[in-house]
Amino acid sequence: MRSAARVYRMTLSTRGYSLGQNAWSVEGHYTGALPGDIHDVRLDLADLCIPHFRRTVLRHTGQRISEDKIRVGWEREEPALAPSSDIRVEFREMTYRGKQTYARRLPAETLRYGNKYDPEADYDEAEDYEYEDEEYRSDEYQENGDELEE
Amino acid sequence: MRKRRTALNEESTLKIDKDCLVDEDWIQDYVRMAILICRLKDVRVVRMRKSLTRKGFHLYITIAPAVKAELANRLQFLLGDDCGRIDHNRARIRSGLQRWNILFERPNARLRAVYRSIDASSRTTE
Repeated sequence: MRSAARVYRMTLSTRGYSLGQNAWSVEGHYTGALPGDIHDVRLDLADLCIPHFRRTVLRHTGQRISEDKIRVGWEREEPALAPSSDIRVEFREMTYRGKQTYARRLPAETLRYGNKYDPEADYDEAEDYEYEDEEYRSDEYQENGDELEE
Repeated sequence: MRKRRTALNEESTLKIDKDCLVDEDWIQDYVRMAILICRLKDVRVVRMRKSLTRKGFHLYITIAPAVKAELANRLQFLLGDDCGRIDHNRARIRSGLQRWNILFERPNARLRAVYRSIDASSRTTE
């Protein structure tokens, strides 16, 4: 019997320092509605998403990170309305400056659960990728601090 | 030029991370204090549940009505959430991340009710 689907929310993160710059971290927020045993699905998702996350960090920061530098965190699973093999991914680059953390939005992606992640295929797509101008600008204001709302 | 901001969903659950274990009567004091703090912001506490973690415990506070992300994070600050979490949540909210309120849990973590408002229980029986 097939078990009910649950919403899995996994966060992968890594942190580092650059010479003469501030502490930074990159977060990958993976969300999927999947059936199966919680432990098995968590392992499968981590296997699928960690290479993807490493590739994304390399693409955006130019830094290669080893698997042991990646922190994997899980939120509490919730019942899903329907299973789906699509895994929605959102990335944030976090920098710590002036006693505050600032987040910069990186382009969102969708992965397919069940397919083994192919970094080469991802690389081809990466070549054509561009920032969405509007979103990119909306994050810049936080760095300048000119429109912070209270 | 006015910059666009992504509209975030309203939050009906506050998540509090406490990295210490305390006696049950301290938890009951905390419940009373949480109700008072939420009342300051015209928010009602409907239910409070607790799960144990490696270092302490997590609290899930269901509130009514649902509030904006900024106010939810502010309430979490007032309720003594972890400072690093507050800072990261604020950055995530400003960048328009829907899933800003992240709290990691062990698989199959059990939630134990520590408070349930009388109004909420009477409503469910109607």
